Amino acid sequence: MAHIGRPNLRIAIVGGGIGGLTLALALRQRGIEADVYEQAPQLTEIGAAVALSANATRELRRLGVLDTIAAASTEPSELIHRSWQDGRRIAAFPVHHGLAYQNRFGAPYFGIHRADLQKALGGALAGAGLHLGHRLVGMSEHGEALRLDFANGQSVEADLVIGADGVRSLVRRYVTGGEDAIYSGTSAFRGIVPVDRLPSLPDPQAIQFWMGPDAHLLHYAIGGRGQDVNFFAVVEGPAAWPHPTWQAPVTQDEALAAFRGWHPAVSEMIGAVEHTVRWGLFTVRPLLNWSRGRAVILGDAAHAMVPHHGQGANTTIEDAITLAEMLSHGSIGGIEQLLSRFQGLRRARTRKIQRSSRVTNDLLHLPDGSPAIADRDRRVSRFPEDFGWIHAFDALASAQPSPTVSAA
Amino acid sequence: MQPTEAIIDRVLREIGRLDDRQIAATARLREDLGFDSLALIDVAVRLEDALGLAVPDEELERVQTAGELAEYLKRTGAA
Ligand SMILES: Cc1cc2nc3c(=O)[nH]c(=O)nc-3n(C[C@H](O)[C@H](O)[C@H](O)COP(=O)(O)OP(=O)(O)OC[C@H]3O[C@@H](n4cnc5c(N)ncnc54)[C@H](O)[C@@H]3O)c2cc1C
Repeated sequence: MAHIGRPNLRIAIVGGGIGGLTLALALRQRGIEADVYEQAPQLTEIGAAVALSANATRELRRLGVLDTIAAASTEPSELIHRSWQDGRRIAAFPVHHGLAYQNRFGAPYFGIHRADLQKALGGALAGAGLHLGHRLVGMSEHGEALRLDFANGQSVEADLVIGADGVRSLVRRYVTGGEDAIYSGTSAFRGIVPVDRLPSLPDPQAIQFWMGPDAHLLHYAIGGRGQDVNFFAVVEGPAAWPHPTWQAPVTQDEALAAFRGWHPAVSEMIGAVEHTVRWGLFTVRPLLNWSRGRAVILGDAAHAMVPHHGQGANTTIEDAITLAEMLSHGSIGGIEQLLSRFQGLRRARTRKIQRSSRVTNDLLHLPDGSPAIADRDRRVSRFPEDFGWIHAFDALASAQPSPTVSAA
Repeated sequence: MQPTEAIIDRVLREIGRLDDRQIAATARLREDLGFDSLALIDVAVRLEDALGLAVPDEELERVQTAGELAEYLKRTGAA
């Protein structure tokens, strides 16, 4: 049986973000070499952070990069939901305190700067098979193979193409034939603030949701010693998003106005950053097919979600581990069936998390006096019971060939 | 039973573990059969895989009964 990987099966990964790098690393760990084509001339990430939950950190530990990641991460003290104006604690659960989260889910919860995460993944890959400055502009069938054309004039052929090229994926367009990214009707301001510039903030080491009318603010600490606070402030609107990218210019006043009248800790945090852009939040509608022939998509390309469960990157890491593990058990003759089994393993889970994140948006944005507030408070008090299934998941275990299927 | 109804019947039984119960067309998915919103996504994805048709979230939230689910699928092209 011919081995998957070079020279028998050339694998091209489009996109060197969280998904592409994790996939390349997981394949390498399994003895499969792949090429990664990333449009950016350098692996530098925009200034923002990401929260990694146990469903991802258990995989990063298996990849041998969790110690590097831990050194640049902060585990939140608690998860707290607060009311927007008086800052009242509505519900709180220990995370790092008593190692409650790790004990329950078997791996830590980390806040980390995206650049540090990318450095850890890219560093472990040590440049092997990584081709920067390669923006995919065209994709076509070439006999049995697929041909990829890049903006820099180069072209390559591959036998398996994996699109990890994000929410505006070009590989997805090849797979589904359409544009499936949808503007969610919500947008966000974000920033990173040194913790000593936030004197009004209660529990600065916690991950906290401040919930108010038509908006919420989420923040958590990052950076090894919790020295910085990453925040993400979501507002309803604008109604339409005519901009060509997911960033649109704003003035400082627009950002401040969106949170006027909120608790001083919130206005202080928003005001600590010079806002020049807001981010439109896009999703990908649940897709029937993640693959076409020998091209497949994963991560945001396949299932971008609103970020209210902080699960976009985590589910992307699950996808990458699942696919790498399946390929390591696969055979070249069965690639197309393998890709449909891959989506069979992933479609329901990611769609549930997509939906759950969307529903959470409405829960976080209730006006004062809404009859739904009592239900909201009850729900956020049931966080571990209601959302434990997201964190307890073990992607590697889920990808093991079942005895009945693997006989083939 | 029509093919679409038979497929719905099988999927509902499997996901809802309803082995020995009768599923009438008028059975309400949530109240009578006990499906919550997450289990309904399992149902939708299994029906999509079996029929090659999309069952979007909006439809899933709109349909109340097994019969309405069958009607929706037939309207969009199932046999
Ligand atoms: C504001 C914001 C906050 C978020 N916070 C969290 C969080 O706290 N927790 C969480 O889990 N998730 C979070 N997410 C989601 C998370 O960032 C994404 O789900 C995750 O990055 C998806 O990984 P990916 O590899 O699929 O895509 P990306 O990380 O977007 O990577 C795609 C890569 O493909 C490259 N690329 C794109 N097109 C081409 C092309 N044509 N040719 C070559 N390369 C190309 C891009 O340059 C990029 O490097 C957040 C998202 C946003 C927008």
